[in-house]
Amino acid sequence: MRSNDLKARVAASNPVDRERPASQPLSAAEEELLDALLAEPLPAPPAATRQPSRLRGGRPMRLALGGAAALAAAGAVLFVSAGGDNTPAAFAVEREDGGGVRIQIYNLGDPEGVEQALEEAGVRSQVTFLPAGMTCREPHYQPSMALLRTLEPNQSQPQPWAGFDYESIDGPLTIAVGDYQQRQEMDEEIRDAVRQGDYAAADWPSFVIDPSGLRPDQTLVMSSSPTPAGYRQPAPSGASSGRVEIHSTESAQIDTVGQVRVAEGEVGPCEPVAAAAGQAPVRAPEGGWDFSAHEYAGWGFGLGPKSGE
Amino acid sequence: MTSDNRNALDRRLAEERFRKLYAAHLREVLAYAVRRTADAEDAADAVAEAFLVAWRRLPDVPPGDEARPWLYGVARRTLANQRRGEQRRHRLADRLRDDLAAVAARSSGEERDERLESALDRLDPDDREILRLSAWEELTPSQAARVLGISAIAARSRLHRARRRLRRALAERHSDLAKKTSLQLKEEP
Repeated sequence: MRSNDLKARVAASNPVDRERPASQPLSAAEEELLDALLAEPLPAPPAATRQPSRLRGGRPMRLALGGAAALAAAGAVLFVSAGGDNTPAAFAVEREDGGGVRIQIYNLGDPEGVEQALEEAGVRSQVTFLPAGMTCREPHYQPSMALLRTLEPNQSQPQPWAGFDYESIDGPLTIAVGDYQQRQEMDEEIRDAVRQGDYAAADWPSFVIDPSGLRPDQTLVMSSSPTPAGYRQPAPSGASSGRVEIHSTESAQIDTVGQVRVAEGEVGPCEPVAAAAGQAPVRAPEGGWDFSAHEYAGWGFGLGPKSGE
Repeated sequence: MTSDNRNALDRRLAEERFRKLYAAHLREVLAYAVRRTADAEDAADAVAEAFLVAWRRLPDVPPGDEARPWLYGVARRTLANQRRGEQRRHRLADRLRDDLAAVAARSSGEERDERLESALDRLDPDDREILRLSAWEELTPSQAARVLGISAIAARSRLHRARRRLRRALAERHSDLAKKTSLQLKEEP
């Protein structure tokens, strides 16, 4: 049964499907309640009206909720805190019924936690979070390719996937882990939200990974660091896309640069070194990656080595 | 402007805003409450409480149609407390209780979808509620999130899960019936 049919069927079971319209004048009883309410004293002084602040890309920060609603906030998302109770959650793991897993990284506080979350989702990884302007000394692993069947139409065969580079991810960095069907289900949810115009709930993943596309000797290597000052032109003052770091337990925007790669065999430790001047802090080794024998499979992002690297 | 005048002006602006809020959303909140409790008195109490909280915390009530899920959220918590046995009649709801039938009448006469109702009944209350918020109140997952006090992403995820579970519950019932029918067929000589 399609979602819409199911919704129509639930809608038909509504015990009160016709409420009296707001255009009809208030009844005597309704007037009486209004008068009684207005006779209630107001707490003084009234607080200033709080508007929900917006992150770039229209993702609303959920600061407007107060009191009981905020206390009740928990739900299906497991927030993993990096430290004590007052520390904002560094990342959250959301498990879907279909078996897919969504990992949302809010800040660079807990690389081991992210590794563990990936491990539990079936992906071995090395996650390194570095200070701004630092990178790993390369090479510290043998670059390789995973196989990934993307959700694009007409693509029935898994394609080699080398990873991707990112900068200034809008909202939390989200990793969707699942096989083709699980990712399809997660994708369908997001499409549902978009169809309803509910962009706040449309959590497009930053990248997706299928554990079955990785061989047992392969490791996902991820390194990330805050975007260094001067790396990008700062947004004009007053623009909504300012280079800010906001941490909250529910939503966050991290401005980071980083890369995700697939390694095969032993992965050495990441030795932090300063990135060369003018270069992205995360960079390919001298001479660039050698992927000449493969085709790249994109997932809505341009993949592969940048020209000139 | 003296501070007395200032307060009088604030008060008048607050009253004006509240009158609009009340007129725009009263019937919706009443309908929400009547849909969720068979007890008209509980429904009237939940409505009175929702608007009392709105009056006291007017600056916190979001503007426009976002006020609707906010009010549903307060009504929902009031109804939940009633179910926990903290029953007491709201002092402001006296007249409203008698008037409820006129405001939000339960529709009748239509054939009930018993299979759906039984499948809904077997769902987890949270799953059931988000399906109803979506289908009955026509809220988006983000608005339902405000009612339930969860994040927008968690609400979307829950809605998706609830739909899947409802489909499953409907199918289960179907296959149970099929099983029963085939058993009967076998047992009959």
